[in-house]
Order: sequence, then C-alpha cells, then structure tokens
Amino acid sequence: MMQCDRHADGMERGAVRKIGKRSCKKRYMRIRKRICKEEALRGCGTKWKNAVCKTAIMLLLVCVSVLNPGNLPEAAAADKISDTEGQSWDAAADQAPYFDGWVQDDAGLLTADEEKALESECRRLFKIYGTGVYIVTTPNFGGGDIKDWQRRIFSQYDLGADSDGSGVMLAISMAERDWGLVGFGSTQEAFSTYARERLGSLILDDLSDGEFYEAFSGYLSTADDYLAAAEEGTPYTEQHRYREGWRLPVILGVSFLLSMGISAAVVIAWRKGMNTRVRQNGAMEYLKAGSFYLSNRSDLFLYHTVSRTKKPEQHSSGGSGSMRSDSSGTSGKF
Amino acid sequence: MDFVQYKCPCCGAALRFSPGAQKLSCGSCGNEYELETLRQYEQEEERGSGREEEQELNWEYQREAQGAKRTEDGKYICPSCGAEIEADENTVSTTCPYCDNVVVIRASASGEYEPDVMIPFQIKGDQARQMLENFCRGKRLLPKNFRDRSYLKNLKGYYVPYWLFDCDASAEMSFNATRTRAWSDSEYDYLETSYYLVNRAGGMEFYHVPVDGSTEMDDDTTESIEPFDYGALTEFNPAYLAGYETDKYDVDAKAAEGRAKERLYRSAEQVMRGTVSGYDTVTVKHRYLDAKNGKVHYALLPVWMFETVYNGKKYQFAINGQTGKMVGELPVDRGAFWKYLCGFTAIGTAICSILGILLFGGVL
Repeated sequence: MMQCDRHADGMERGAVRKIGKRSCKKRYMRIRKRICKEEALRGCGTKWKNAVCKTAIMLLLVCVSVLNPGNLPEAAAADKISDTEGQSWDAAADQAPYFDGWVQDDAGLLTADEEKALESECRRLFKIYGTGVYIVTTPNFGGGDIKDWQRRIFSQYDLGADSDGSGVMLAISMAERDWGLVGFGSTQEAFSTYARERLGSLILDDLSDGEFYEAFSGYLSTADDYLAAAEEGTPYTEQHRYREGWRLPVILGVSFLLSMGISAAVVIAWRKGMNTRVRQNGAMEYLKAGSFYLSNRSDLFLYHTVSRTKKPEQHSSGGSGSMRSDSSGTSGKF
Repeated sequence: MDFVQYKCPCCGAALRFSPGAQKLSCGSCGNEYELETLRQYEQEEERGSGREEEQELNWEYQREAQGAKRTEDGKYICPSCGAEIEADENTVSTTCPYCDNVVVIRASASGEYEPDVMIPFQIKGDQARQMLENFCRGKRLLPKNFRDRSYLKNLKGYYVPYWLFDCDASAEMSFNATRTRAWSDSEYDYLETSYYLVNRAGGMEFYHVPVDGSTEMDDDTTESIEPFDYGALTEFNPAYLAGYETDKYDVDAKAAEGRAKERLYRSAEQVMRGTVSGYDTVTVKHRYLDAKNGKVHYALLPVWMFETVYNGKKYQFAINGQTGKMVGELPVDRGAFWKYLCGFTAIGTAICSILGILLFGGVL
C-alpha cells in the first residue's frame, strides 16, 4: 500500500509537469496503467492484486514448464523488449531499474536526502524545459555498451512519453565502473557530441573520486545550462564552447609572455652584440707547446659507501577519461 | 717511540687494527683501510696544510733602468715646421697639428721607458675603418648620430704599452674524486660511491703573458684583442712609431704582475685538472702553485682605437693592429631598444593570439 502511495506521488509529480500538454486526468490514467503493468511484471502491487498476480504467474509458469521445460526463461521474457545486439536481455532486464521518478539509485550511491534533492532539481528542469533529465545507477547493467542499455530502458519505460520522446539520461554501472550519457529526441540538439563529452569531462573527476552526489549535481546544473542555451537557439558545440571562455585570456597571456620572451631574447642578443669585449680567463694561449710535464701522478682509493633506496611500488593507474561517442550518446569508464 | 693514531678519512673517528683483515678498521662507519693508504693520505694532509696556495714570484726585468730623461720645460718643437707641440709626460710619439708631421719624442721613448720589443702595425687605417664600418652596419641599436659615419674620423692607431711575462710554473694539486656505480634488484635501487684522493704534480712554461701598462686603456678591451702573433716581434725601433700615437706606460710592471700571476696560475690549475679523468666528481682539495725564472719584457703592441662618449659614458672599440681582431663596445640607443622590444612583443602577441584562437578556440 505504501508503494502504491509512493507511485501515486510519482504520478502527481508527473501530473505537474504535464501542464499545457494533456489533461491531468488522462495523464493520471495513462501513468497508472503503465505502473500497474510494471507492477504486474515485478509481482508487486496491492495485497489482493499481488496474490492474484502471483497465483496467475505461478500457474502460467507451471503450465509452460510442463509443456516446454527448456524454454522457461525465454517464455518469461517473451513480452519484454527484444535484444537488439543478439545478447541475452535477461541479465540486463534483471538490472533494469524500476522508475518512479527521475532519479533511480539502484546501486545505492545516494542518501535519501541527496536523492530527494536531485529529484527536486530534475522536477524543476522538467517544469522549465519540458524534458526529462534522468539519473540511473545500477550495480551491473549486464555488459555490452551502456548506451544501448540506456536506450533500451528509456524505450522500455517509455520515459519520453511526457516530452515527445525527448530526454537525457546519465547512467552509472558500478560493476565495471561504466558511465553513459545519452540524449533522446529533440534533446540531442542540446546534448551534441561536444556537449556530452564536455559534460563528461566536467563530472568524471567526481565520479572517479566516488563523489556521486557532486557529480550528479554537476550533471543537472550543466544540463540546465545546455537546455537553456538550446532553447535560446545557441546550443553548445565545437564552435560555441561551454565555459571555456577562459581560453581567450589564457591564450592572450601566453601569447604576450611568449612574445615578450622571444622579443627580449632577440633585442638583448642585439645589445650583447654591441659589446664584444671578453676578459681573458687564463693564459692558455701562452703555454709553451710541449713544456708541460707530470712529476707525480697517484690515484689513491680511500673507501666506498653503498646506499639503497626502496623502489616505489607500481600502482596501476586507475586513470579514466577515455570517452566513446556515437550520434546521441557518450560513454566511458570512471 | 712515537705513537701514531690514524683517523678515518670518511668520518674522522679513531681507527683500530683488525687482526682478521690485517687492516685498520673504523668502528664508527665500518670502513677498512690498508696501512699504506692511510700513510699516503696522512702525508698528503700534512703537505697541504700550512703552505701558501700561490707563491710570490720575483720577476727579472729584461733591461736595467737607465734613469729618466726629460726636457726641462716639457715642450717639443716640430722638426718639420718648428711649431710648438703639446705633449704630456706620457707621450712618446704624436702628430704635429700644424704640418701633420709625425713627431717621435725620443726623450720619453728612452731610458726606463724604452720598450724591449714591439710589433709594427700590419692593418692599415683604411682597412681598420672598413672593418669598423662593417661592424656598425646592421646594428639596429646604434644611436642615429652614428649612422653618418662621422665616428670613423675618431679611429686612431696607437702603440699600446704592454708588459709581457715569462715564467716556469709548477703546481702540486690534490683532488677529492668519486666514482659511482648503480644497480637494482627487485626491491631496492643501490648506489655505490667510491672515494679517491688524487694527487698530481707537474710544471709548464708560459711565454709572453701580456698585461697592458696603460690606465687609459680599458683592461677588458686590451685583453679581448689578444692574442698577438709573437712571431712578428721585433726590436724596438722609433721609426715604426711614425704615423701613430704612442703612450709610455703608466702602470709599472710591479703593478701589472698581479694580473699576470692570476692568469697563469689559473691556466696551470686548468692544465693539472685536465689530467684527472675517469671520475664522476672532482673537487680541488689542496693547490700549491709556484713559478720561477720569471722575466718581464716591455713591449709596444699595435691597436686601432675608436673612443667616444655617449650619455656621459666612455665607449672603446679596438682592432688588433696585427691580426685585425675586432672587439669593443658600441653605445646603445635606449629608445631604439625599447621600441624594438615593445614592437616585437606587440606583433608577436597578435600573431600568437590569432594562431592560438584558431588552434584551440576559446572565443566567447
């Protein structure tokens, strides 16, 4: 019952972001239907529904196993999404999050307060831009390319239904320390390849350091800027860089210092060329050829010392930062 | 019976005889020494202590002093036109301002001021002027008033008084030297440093180390035009002075020998140091330098001089009158210096900035 209330809250949140698009009632019914469908799949719901569903599923499974025992897993997953890359979808489906908001922390990286704060920010972004900004964490997404997994769950849970199929999702999988950022629909304009990689570079340090809340906050803050820029018709691209204006003063400063250094070297060399006087350091030119002789020559060994220094231990560098991008998504390791 | 207590060369602790190794061992740092090694080390220590590093040298002058000869009123009459010639007490030869005749003042160029040897000019005035003109050409920092070549008229030929020092130098030096060897195993990097006491003793001869005997000549300038080819040295003959200005020395040999000793001792040390090889580090521990059979010659050597005063500072430019080697200092136009520095910086900044923006972006 508590879970239903929670979903009802989620539906209310969904209802708020629906302003100006569909009626609240239609939206309520549609979302409820979706949630119930998911609850049926997950075997959860109200007590009587739960009992009925469990009984029905058990009977169905018994029948299927009796008729064709070897195909039980396939049968159970038959109505789920098809595998697009030929790999088993079961493992990934087991890890698929159950969405009740914009932040889905299945890996347990956030505290309740942190999750609540991020949810609040996601809701604010949705109200402003009408686009869902999602955060998903999972212990293990099941292997393959995390971007494909993100696209599957975006499609499976119909996450873009409220925003004409648009949205952006940051996903973290802790098993192989994968991260992925995928834009959907019209949001791809705001999240160009440059923008995704720039965002990735901004949050990667926090992800590597385990500062997940800071990373997600940075993601939402940057997404806010990206969406605002796209709405103004000036999305961030290679030509319109995000928060890299510092390069201009740095370029000017370095150019000035470099030019001044080279100019000073040239002019000082000219000035030095005006004075060719060099005081003699000895009288080697006046040493009579063949006059030098050695009357004593001895090399006496005294003692030796041995010092040893422990070698620094070889640590495997946990460096990350390599990114792979395709047309709508960027992923990498952290 | 004398009791000898050896100390460890490494740490200074007292050494004790180790019957097992038949060596003297240090209980503090653990090093062991052969008795012969310690004996030589102690000898070197004793020899190095209590001795002056550089010995004074009594120079033997090539000619005995014959007493000064000067006219009573210090004035000279040009033998060509009879005009009175201004000359100070240091003037040996000059040019008559009325008839342009070269006048040699024999009174000054005789006695103790008469040079032993000299090298006649081999570079002509026209050649020297062309050299100076070529040197000034393309000098962007030269003041504007130097561009009209008027400075060339200031170029004059001088016979500069020099003292030439000969001696047999000897040196005894000891050095602390080390060799290092490095190796590693799976856990540690090792560095073995071997310490040596290196002794060298030897001698060499120096011939005609020059030191200028004129206070008017800048020492840096006169040393910079070295070396002269002493193969052209000839007996002093006043006839060579015609057409050139000549000053007698006003720095005597005694005052000049300090610089000569400094130069030849430094070279002796360099020669001895050059015999120590095969070590990673070498530092001088003791040095003992001596010289004997010292002789001093008074010589006149040919120099083309250009001298000017710019912004209150005297600048000298010299050309070796025998070899043509040019040295000296030309005045620098400060305005031109800053103009070029700022101009190049501005142009460079603009070009680098444009390239930087094109390469790295960063606008807006």
